[in-house]
Amino acid sequence: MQLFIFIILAIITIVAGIVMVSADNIARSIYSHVLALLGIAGIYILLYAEFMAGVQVLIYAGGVSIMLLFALMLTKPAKGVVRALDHPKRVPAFITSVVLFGLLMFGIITTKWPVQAHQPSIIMAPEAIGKVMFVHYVLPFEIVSIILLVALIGAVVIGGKEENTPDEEKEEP
Amino acid sequence: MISLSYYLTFSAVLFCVGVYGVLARRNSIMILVSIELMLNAVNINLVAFSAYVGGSDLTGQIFSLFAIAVGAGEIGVGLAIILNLYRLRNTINIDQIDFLKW
Repeated sequence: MQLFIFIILAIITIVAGIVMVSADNIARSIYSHVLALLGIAGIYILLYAEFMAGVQVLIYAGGVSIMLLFALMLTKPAKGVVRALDHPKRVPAFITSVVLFGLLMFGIITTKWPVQAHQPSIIMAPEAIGKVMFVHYVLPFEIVSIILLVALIGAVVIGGKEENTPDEEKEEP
Repeated sequence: MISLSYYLTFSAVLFCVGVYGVLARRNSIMILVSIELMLNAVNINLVAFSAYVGGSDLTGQIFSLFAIAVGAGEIGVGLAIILNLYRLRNTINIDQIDFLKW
């Protein structure tokens, strides 16, 4: 039963990912990205990581995709070009990713993983994560909060220069 | 009970799809989206190892949470850079953004 659910989720996610990298329309691509992220959230639930699944849905499927859609609305792709989203050299990219997949599969198959018995227990509950995070990982938590603050300020500083725009567009025709 | 290799294989497939997206796209928003897919593939690896290898140890999930936070910051700054580039150059195709190349 678990294998059945895993296969369904994996097929949904991988098909959504392939549509994402091959679609001709940015909006369609971003929506299939959202579908792939929701499939990954289902995989997290299958791995007894409910908190990770919630965070995945909230941050990636919610926040990041909305941000990507806003970026899509504020820009426009090149018009009048066939397959304007794609680089002309698609075949070397395909060969590279297939070779990388072969290497990764070789590593996965030949390595003996020190797998323990799986523990589908209450210990994976969000409160256990909270305890571990605020007892053992307080310093990285604070550093991550500073990183997010710096990223916020940096995004505002980089993206928010409204008054310089006309001059710089005049300089560069 | 599914074996660990299934999760690793799934994550390898997703990672390679993301690599193809990064290499084959020329719209910078699409490249950022593909990078997000690669980050998610790595997070699946971390959570799977946390469930299978670590037993009751939650370090993999914590690491993955930090990776998600850093990824969110990365995509915010990346989109700000893309919007600024669009404002300056009127294009976001990476083969036309070459003024740092010589």
